[in-house]
Amino acid sequence: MSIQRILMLMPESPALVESANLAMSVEGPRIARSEIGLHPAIHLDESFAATPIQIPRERAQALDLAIESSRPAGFVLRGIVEAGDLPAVQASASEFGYEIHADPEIGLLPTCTGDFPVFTVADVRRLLGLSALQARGFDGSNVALAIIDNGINLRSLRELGLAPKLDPQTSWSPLRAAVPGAALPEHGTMCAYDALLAAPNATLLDHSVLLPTRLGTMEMDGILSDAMKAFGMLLTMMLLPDDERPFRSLVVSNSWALLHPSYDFPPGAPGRYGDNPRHPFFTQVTNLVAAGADVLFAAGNCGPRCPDKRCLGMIDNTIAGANSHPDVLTVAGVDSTDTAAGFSARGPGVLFPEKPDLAAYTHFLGSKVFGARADSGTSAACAVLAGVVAALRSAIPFVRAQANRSPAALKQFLLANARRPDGLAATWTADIGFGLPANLLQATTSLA
Amino acid sequence: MAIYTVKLLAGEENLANAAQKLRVEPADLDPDFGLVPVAPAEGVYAVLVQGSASPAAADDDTDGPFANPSIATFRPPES
Repeated sequence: MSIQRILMLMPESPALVESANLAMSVEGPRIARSEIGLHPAIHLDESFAATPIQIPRERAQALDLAIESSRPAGFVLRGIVEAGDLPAVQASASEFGYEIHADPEIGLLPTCTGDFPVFTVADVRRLLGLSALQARGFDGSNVALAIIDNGINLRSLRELGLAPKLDPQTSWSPLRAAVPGAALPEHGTMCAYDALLAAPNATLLDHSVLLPTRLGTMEMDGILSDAMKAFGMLLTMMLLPDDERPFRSLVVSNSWALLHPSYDFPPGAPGRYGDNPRHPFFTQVTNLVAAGADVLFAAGNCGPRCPDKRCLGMIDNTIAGANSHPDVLTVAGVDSTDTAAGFSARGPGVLFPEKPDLAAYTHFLGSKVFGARADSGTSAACAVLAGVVAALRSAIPFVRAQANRSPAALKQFLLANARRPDGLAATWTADIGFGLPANLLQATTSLA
Repeated sequence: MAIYTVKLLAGEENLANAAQKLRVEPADLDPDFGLVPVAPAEGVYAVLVQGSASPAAADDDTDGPFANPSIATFRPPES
């Protein structure tokens, strides 16, 4: 049985005029079914006051408005019918002098490529409740925040009013001449800025693996083995005893991926990356999380409504490889209205179906490394959430001997407490996963 | 270069031993990449092998070749 939402265009009557006058009333029904003649199959929405859709003829003439005035004044009501009853309802409406029209569901246009940013970092801070978090000491202190990207420019971050800390000893690049923190201000700087919104006291680790080196052919390319080298260094660090690690906690933000399966081994080859849980990078990620690191990956920008051109039209099964690893947090992007961005890749994931896990804000005016363009894509969303996780870790640091401090426990907390715009608790959907981070202050009691 | 994994005993984690397990020359392994821990508790490390080399077929101590694809950042999307 399907339901059809309908609008009824009715000719003016005293009951409809009276109903229209009740439009602003706070309580009670605004139209009484008994006072209008409707087909019995119509379920009238009595909370919806009759809505005038035409200017009365005398008023239009007085204002000298150039409108068609041959039709009588009309009012709209709304209701629903079962789809099978629609023909009979329409026939009855014609007989009794009113019209039936569709009342389709509508939605905001998705945030898309090229749209100007419509909110700012101040809005992101407000929406995430960062003032309250930071007042309680959730600020990233004593947490290492690794940005696996194309390098960080500390000077740009300082010019944006931040006081970033960076540890060069635990940073890495395949380019030996690369100086940590001195990259061109680009994508990696955007991610660092967005992560520091929630965790301004975190210590950045600059793993600039996405550089135009070696086999890469595209701008800012890297190769997977460079990411493996970086993850190997982080894994070695996390395997040190708690009192020997330079940082108690490590958060790893990854706004990158295999962009298209054509770069991978052919389908069916046993060593493939995108859909193969036996690939050593997949195993390495498993072990890095098991060793205590909170690892986040962006979902990607191949969303169905306005995919990035580099998706080459592919919009299904695009959350692949480590981006769909069950142990990581895979992050979708939403705008300030909590609506999934049009470019944000939809699940399910290739290796684990319930991907993305969570959503975070994107497409806001932030780092300005791309001029007046927004900090955008799921890259920004991933970095924002990485900052939130780093903020939590400053209050509830990883301790190897405590299971409730593990990355798995923290992830479970975030999923269980996620806020969904549609109010459906503990529900996963392909666009925003389990929802947006919420109830963050409760982490100290839930994970104590 | 392709990714292979090798399983090495504790205290024997070096490129020479990895090359021996894979039955290639040590020079066939990328020294800059070196031995990258994959599952160090089990002694599993990744190495990069030159394309011209022909490692032995996978066995209990070695596995591969695995894809080493190009990756890229999710830049702000473009239409």
